[in-house]
Amino acid sequence: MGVVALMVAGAGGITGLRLYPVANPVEAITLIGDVGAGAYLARASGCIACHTNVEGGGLPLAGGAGFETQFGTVYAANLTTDPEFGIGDWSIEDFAKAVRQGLTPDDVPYYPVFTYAFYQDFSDQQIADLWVAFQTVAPVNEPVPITDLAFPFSERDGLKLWRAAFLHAPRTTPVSGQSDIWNRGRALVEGATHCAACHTERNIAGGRKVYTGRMEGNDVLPGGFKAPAITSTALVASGWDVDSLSYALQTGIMPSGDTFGGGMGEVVQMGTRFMTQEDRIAMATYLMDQSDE
Amino acid sequence: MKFRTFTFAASIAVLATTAVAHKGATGVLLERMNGMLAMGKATKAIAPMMRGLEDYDADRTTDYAAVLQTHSGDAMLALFPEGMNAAPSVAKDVIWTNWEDFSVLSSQLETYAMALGLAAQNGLGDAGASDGSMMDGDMADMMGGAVVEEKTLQTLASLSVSTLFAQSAQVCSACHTKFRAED
Repeated sequence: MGVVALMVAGAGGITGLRLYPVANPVEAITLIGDVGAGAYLARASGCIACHTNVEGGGLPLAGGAGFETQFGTVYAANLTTDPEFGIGDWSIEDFAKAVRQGLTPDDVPYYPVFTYAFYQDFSDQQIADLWVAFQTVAPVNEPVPITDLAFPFSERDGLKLWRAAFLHAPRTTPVSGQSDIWNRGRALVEGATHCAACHTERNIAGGRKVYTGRMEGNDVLPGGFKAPAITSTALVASGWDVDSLSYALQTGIMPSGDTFGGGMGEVVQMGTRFMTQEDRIAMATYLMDQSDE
Repeated sequence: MKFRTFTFAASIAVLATTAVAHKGATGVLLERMNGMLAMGKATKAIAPMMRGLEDYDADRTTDYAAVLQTHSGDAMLALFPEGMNAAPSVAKDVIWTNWEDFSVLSSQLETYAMALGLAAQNGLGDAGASDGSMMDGDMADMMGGAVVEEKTLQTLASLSVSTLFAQSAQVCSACHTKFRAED
């Protein structure tokens, strides 16, 4: 009897969660996008890095790369213009909701392996730029593997509770009194390039410890990767300065003369080396002086 | 006198670090780890010049290129015989299941090394510029869809030293990303 009651309560809970609305209204976006700006933002934001199965020889943005987490394996989505398996039948408003709110067109939450939390402040213009850039990607008519998580993590509606507890606003708001370059770096580091996604420790539920472990590193990343602490103090202790750090984001060269491998190698190879020198310097300027950390 | 004392102390420190890092390595394992260490040390020494923090010296570039060339291409491949991957090696086994990609990266590094040697007299160029191949407005490339063309030695040798240095480091990083286990 007790078991039946629990099952009924559980089913009722899931149904309740399914009906619980989390989407914010999406206004129509009529701005004209800039393909170049969108492609640049896509690079900086890691879209190509995560949604291209390099190891498996996959086509760009066709998804399929697996992220092995402690909860199971999540596969990156096909973001090409294919209408069947990609985002070819989406509207720009669907796209905006996915990027800024982490929700499918049907308002189902994405798993937080997708770093939408950092994109919440993207402007309508940035969304329009990204959108037109993604329209240039040739369709790839291939499905990606089905995400393989055990119950209860397989219930995406349960993520609504997760979002209520662990979805934080990005720290991208400019700080008065800081230089333009510092604020530009803050917008990139805390937003698009989402450094904290890997470099911040996570709790047992996979939420970032934004108050106690921010930028303090993470030894348990998908794929067995580890990310070191990148607080300003830790970076100074490891021999970094603005010049060497910005140069590393271009070349991968560390102060020791070694070059990045692992996850950071991917970040540079697939992302930051495509950025402008000014933006890499801005990122380094902010990282070396996270004065409000 | 102080400089010599410092140099001696630094040498001891490097040797000690090497001993710790390569503890237990013998034979071909030790040889390849020392090869990687030699390239890392040379890169560390010349990086400030390549970043424009020190006066440019073409002879240093030539010497650096020679170090890279010595440890890349077929010379590198010869140090990765199949089955030789016991601790403390940090090589991933995927090297031997994806030997073609590993060989391409090793060959690319050798080509960049040769190009650096040829380009040494070209001058440093803009140390902070992007790598030149990706920020030229090619949207297909920015969105990941460009066809990567293999560059000839002569084409590479016409580039600035800073560009070649940056791109050679990117080859190192690409190889480490794919084929080296991280701590």
